[in-house]
Amino acid sequence: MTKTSYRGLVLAALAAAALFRFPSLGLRPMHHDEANQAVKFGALLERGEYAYDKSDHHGPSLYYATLASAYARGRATLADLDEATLRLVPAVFGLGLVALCLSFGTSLHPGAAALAALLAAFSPAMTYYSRFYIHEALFAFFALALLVGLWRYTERLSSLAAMAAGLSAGLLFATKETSVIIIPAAVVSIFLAGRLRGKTAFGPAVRLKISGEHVFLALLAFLAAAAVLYSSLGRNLDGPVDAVTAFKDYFAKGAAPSLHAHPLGYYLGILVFSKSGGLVWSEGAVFVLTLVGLAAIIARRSESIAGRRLGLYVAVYAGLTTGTFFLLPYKTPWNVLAFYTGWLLLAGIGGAFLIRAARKPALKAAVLVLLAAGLAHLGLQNYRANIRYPADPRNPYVYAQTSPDFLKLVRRVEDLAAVHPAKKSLLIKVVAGPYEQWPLPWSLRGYQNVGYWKNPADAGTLRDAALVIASDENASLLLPALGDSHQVEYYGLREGTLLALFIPDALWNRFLLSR
Amino acid sequence: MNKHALTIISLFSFVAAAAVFASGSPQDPSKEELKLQLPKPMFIGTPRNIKTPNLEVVTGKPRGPFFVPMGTIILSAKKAVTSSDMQPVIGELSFLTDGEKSGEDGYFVELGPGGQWVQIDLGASSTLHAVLVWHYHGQARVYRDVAVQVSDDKDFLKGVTTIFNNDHDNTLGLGLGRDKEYIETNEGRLIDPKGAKGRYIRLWSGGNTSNDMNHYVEVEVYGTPPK
Repeated sequence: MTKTSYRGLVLAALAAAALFRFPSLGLRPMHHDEANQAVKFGALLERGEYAYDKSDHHGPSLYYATLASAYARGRATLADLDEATLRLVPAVFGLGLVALCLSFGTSLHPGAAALAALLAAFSPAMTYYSRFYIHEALFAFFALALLVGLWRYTERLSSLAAMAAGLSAGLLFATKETSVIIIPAAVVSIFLAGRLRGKTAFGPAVRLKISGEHVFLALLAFLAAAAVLYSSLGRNLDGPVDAVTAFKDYFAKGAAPSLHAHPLGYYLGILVFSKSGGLVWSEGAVFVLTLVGLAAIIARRSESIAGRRLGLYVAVYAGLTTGTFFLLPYKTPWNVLAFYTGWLLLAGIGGAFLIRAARKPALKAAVLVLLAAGLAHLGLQNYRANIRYPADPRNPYVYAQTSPDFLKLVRRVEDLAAVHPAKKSLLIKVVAGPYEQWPLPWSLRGYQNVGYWKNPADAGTLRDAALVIASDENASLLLPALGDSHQVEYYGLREGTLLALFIPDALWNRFLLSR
Repeated sequence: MNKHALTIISLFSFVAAAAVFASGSPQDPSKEELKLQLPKPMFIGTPRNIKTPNLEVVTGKPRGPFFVPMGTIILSAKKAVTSSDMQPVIGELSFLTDGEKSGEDGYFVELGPGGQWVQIDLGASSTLHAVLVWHYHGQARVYRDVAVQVSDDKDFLKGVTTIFNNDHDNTLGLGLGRDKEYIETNEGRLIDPKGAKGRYIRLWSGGNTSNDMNHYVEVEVYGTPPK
């Protein structure tokens, strides 16, 4: 492969990654989880308040990283924020992940690295969760950074490389508790790969020798990164302790989840093939190339593409992470990112192997056409998943997603506030359980008087409220008392979940006159 | 230095510096924090979609008995159906009067987005005593701008009686509706026509809380045929 064609592919990968990740970031309604993170970040932005909450939130890295985005876009309060400012953070890390695919140095054939980067850029799953304000894009980025860091350490055996790997692990740990799967998988993989002897296509395979000093420095970097972030920059010393004790809860949740328990093949369904309501989805191109890459490594036919040690390292890592996430009963679709990076690297190796194996020009051309078709297929689905059907329940990456209908509720509240004497200070009472409250706290962030109660009995009189928003269960309790004096409208919150908006007749009539 | 190491260290330093800067930001001295007494929202983890095939009645109680004059029969069975959308994407218009009321796939017709109507020709002008409508009851859903009209004019230009209208903001332009919105259930929605007379019955809707499309599983019209 010539330098020019390599540079062209790299440029194409980065451009495609940016093109898929950055436009129309506000298109999809905020998910329950995104709104949760946004409101938590709002406290950090407005008041500098952040404390790790092991019960309902993952690690601190997302919130601190978002400060950069908020400052860059001149946002100082929660009310100032918008979806694009928040989602810019995972989008940048998603782009960074594509770049990291190119960081394995000379041990990985440039064609394999470029193809892995292209597949990561085009992947609908990678893109979808890079446009989603949760921890996953950062987690996948730091996991790949750790994978690259450990690999580069084995090449150089330097203090700096050891610290870089430690720092990546620390930031990974400060992002999400499932780092407890990724870090051991990466370490076991590098040790297994390091035990290889003999000559490889990329030179002699030096047996991995690690000095105690390097281990110490790596641990120091790990602890420093984790401690600084979990302690809220030194202001919450309970944070690092909570970060460790949290594992007790997370192990229980992972092994015996009350929600989100899915069968063994759940992730395969999302990534390889799914069909719903006339729409068919597949990242089969990645899956087939992953299997080719894996087979080539096992058959020791890939050594001109990736050194034997690197091939083994990536294959073991992909196997360990995939196996663990498949076996855990607790499954959410965004967890695919944690192991899919390994698949993408293997797929890059697989694709480069096929090009190399096709010796006749016609065959090589056919392989290149097939690879281009695979990328085009991924690109088409990427558009469908992220632009055409970003909140459609038929989209396999959609999970408990807020319905676009919810935005009509937000618009109705805006219109009603505009004709209310108190404007945005009108009193809004939300009477709904916590699963039905979100993303209202995000969507109503510009209103000064909004209260949240689980039950109508706790909310006191509801007649003093300018607006009442209730879960459908609570709405049926409120209807006898408010039904005659209020206009009642229903809005979809999620698939099968409704919210009712109670509008006093006087306000409703004022609204009608304003139209 | 290792490029990767440099990247990671730079990133971490940038984030840490931004965080320190944020925590030290001075507040505007002319302003004070508004102390709200209202309860804050509760943080909680990812919800799960509710899967409620053939949703039961929301109130938990079955609908009470509904009394009609002696001799009332179903008038709509197998009758011809027309619509503002004569080429439905899913299902067929004949599903409305075929007697099948299942909430599963394959039993409903899907009409296009926005305000759409379906119309049943009862064959003769009749006195109506009950109309039962099932839009879609596979999940909790509310159909918007539901209006039901009766007329002897197939174009509904004259002699139109509106027997139900919850288009409370007059989206359809049929006039402000005073009836309430309701959640679809497997019991269907019972509408009392109060003896309205007509040969044609036209049912409107304007999307629903899950999407902008319009659906019907079944419509049953009960009344007394002309003697």
